[in-house]
Amino acid sequence: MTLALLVTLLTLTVLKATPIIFAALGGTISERSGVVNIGLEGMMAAGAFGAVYATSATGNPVVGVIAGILAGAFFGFVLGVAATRLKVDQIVAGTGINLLCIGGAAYALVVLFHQQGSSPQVASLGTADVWLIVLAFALAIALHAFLWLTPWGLRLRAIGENPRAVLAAGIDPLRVRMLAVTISGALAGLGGAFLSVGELNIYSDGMTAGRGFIALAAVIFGRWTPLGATLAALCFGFFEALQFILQGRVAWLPSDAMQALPYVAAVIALAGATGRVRAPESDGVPF
Amino acid sequence: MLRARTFAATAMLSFLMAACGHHVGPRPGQLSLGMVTDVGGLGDRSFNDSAYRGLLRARDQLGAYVEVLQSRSAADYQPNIEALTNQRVDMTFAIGFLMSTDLDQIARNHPDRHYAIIDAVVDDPNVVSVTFREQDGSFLAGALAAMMSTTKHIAFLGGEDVPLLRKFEAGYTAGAHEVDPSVTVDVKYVGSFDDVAAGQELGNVLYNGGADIIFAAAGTAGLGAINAAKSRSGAYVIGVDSDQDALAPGKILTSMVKHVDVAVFDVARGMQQHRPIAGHLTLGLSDDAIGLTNFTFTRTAIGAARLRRLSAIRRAIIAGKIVPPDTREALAAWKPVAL
Amino acid sequence: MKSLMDRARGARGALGALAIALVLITAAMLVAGASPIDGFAALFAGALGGTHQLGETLVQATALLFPALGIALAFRAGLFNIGAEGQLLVGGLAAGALGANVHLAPALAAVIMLGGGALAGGVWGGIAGWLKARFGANEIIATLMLNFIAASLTGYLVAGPLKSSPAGGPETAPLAHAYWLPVLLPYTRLSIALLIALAIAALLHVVLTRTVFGYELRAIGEAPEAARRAGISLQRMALLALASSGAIAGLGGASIVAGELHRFNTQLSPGYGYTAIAVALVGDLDARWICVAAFAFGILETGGLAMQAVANIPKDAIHVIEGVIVVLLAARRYVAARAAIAS
Repeated sequence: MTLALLVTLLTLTVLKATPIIFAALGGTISERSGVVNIGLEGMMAAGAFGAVYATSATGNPVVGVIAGILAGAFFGFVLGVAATRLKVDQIVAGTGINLLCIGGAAYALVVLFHQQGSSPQVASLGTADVWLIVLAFALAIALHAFLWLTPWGLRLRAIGENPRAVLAAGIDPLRVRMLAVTISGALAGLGGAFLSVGELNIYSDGMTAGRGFIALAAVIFGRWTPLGATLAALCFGFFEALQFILQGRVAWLPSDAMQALPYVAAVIALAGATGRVRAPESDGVPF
Repeated sequence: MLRARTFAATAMLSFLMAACGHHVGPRPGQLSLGMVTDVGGLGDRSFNDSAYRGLLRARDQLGAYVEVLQSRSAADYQPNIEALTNQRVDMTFAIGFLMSTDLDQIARNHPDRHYAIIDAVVDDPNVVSVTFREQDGSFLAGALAAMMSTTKHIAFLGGEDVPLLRKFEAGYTAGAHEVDPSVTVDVKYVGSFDDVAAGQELGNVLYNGGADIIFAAAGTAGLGAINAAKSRSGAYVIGVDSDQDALAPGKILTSMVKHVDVAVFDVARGMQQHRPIAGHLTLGLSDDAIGLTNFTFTRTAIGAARLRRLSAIRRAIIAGKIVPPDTREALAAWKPVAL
Repeated sequence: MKSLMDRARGARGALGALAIALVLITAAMLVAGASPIDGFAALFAGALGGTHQLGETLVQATALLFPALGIALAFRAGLFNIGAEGQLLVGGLAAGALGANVHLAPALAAVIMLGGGALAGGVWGGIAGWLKARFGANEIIATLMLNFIAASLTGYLVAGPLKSSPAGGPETAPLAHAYWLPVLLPYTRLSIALLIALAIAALLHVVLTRTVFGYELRAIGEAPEAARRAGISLQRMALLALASSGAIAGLGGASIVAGELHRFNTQLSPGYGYTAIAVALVGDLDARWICVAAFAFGILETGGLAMQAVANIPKDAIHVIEGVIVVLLAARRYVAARAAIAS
């Protein structure tokens, strides 16, 4: 392998991993607080669409990124309210949000841009998207430190394990969960915005292409820690990048097998997680 | 509770009112045309949109009544075609090769109705099959790319690795080798027609690998490859299906246009003139159904000499002196032709 | 035995959902600048306006009914099977592969195809059940991940080993005409799959309300700790529940292949397995109401397809409506619970 190829492989790995890292960090913080966020894929689509719409309206992709974060946060908030105050089942609400966001973006393309399928091209961050990549890794470290080194991180994790005990300590677990899920949505939205106005300059139907679900797999493969999820996302990014590069060079490698890899890895991680590391005790359990 | 009931009552009322509404349909004697999209649907800025343009042209120029049904899955093809058949439209267009099995069954059950299918051959007396010689247009694209490449290294980026896309791939590769057998042609597939980001990433992989021109035959994902070309000096991309040249003026060398709209309109006109076309239409360069754009933004960069050579090749294809390959097997056996 | 109150709740659920859907569709049409009168005329005529339309609506209802019943079975046991889509796909693939390669008497072939589909779906659901039972793995994530694996696996198989012909699309070879399930409603493609689905619904209802297995299923769903103390093995029940849930969804995939598509194609389902979650919830996880809900969703799906041509609403907009219904219905339980506390 030549040096140039190696450089391409590594940059592509990071590029492929970045949106997944954002969403996976969101998934981690949400699950640590005890809410499974199945809606990551939809929130990414909302972020991607919101970013393109705001960029098209203002001409400024930075405004677009902020709008993407807000769009994701809004649907995170909706899931948070549904899962905490309304006691709606998290999975049901998350599934609903996926349908809502992906269908909603397709519908909004018609209403706002008067065209189906994809948006017009808008301004993009261009090479400045590298700052978002840096941000992804910085956030991973910051979130890891937050969860394990600060008293608030400890409380968040405690809520995911045993919300009753935290309630006894005078903290409202529902409020913390709602906040965590909203942040989770914001991060997924940021991942979507990275795709649509960071790496690209367009929204098109189906552009998130399952990245939100891969992020969910990364959360598990990364054993519910921010650095673990980041490493898992990099892993998945690496295999996709490898597939891109090997394609056409290695005939025997079916691309379907490569595409299934993250999910197979997640299932194996689910099986292997017993005894050593496990999901937060109250993950997915309403309080 | 009361509110919920009012809610339900209002909804029911509007539902009943709607049920008594007027049905829209063709006037007596008006030519009526139906179209079933494949799962890509309207708004793909490619295949289905192009067919729809042809239908709209038939509406405007022939005064036809048109109706479009979109498909969400392969299971929708059959009911959609049936629905149009039952509405007794004069001709139903099935847009896409995946509909061939379903159309064959329906056409046999309704020998008195007329159908057309794009990109596939269905052997029934009441079906017009329209296929395109994509390999011919792709051959020209390959020839142009090989002439323009300064690195003697070009690339093909497909959407999904299916037989239809391999016609593009084989024609393009052969066209490049016609001009210069020593040109390297890298081939990659996105694995999706939707994933724009992956299209851009693969575009960059191909450019970084040394190719300076990419033929992006990947639907929406191809827009990503166009993006990848924009930020590079000396790099070109070739668009597909519709004229995409204006998306990145000067960076898109040309587009390999596939005029599904022309085919749809011609078949519709045949219907109106009461001489329905049947059998198998293979449209290519001479029908202006396949071809390159007229280089609005790249004419000077290409130069007159190259354009002359390109039209010589085009004439040779039309004359049958060059027969571009349409599969990988045919490509392996193919030899450049001395002109 | 469900109380009269519970039954009324089920009826309100289905009707309420239909009402909400109608209001939302009206709003969507107005925003898109289309006339709701024309739109609803198209929706109504497209779903119920004739034998053909009714047949299509029932075809959609059948396709949703199988996975919805499977999902309900698992949900009643407290297990979130959101993997019906994948179970349906592998079931369909098994039926398509068997149908294209076995040479038997037609009736026997149909049984083999449907049985093979149920078995494949059962195994696919069973994998998640086994992970849950053996390792305590979260079945939501496991079933979700298995959906993607199923999509890749079936995609790989029909692009390679099981491909119909070198020039064909991603599908298995067409079934011999003799292997098709008999048509139920003449001049439509509604097959006896509807009757099979209704039989499964009746069976599920009886099993859940009248058998020990059904009692144990509901016990682990409603009070797992008490069930465990009563000597019910949670692991065994989880495995059985997810496997049988998957089998019903797999049977659904097989019935689409044998009954309407007559081959397996990777684009076989527009997401029936996901929509069926909404159907199961709208039907209050009660087999009888799920039949009603599946019919209502059949109207929405079939009429929606006809409506898009008139009202310029993208086909995905129907998902927005389904998404809102799912969230609202889930919230309805909370509202009902609070009303109960208030009174």
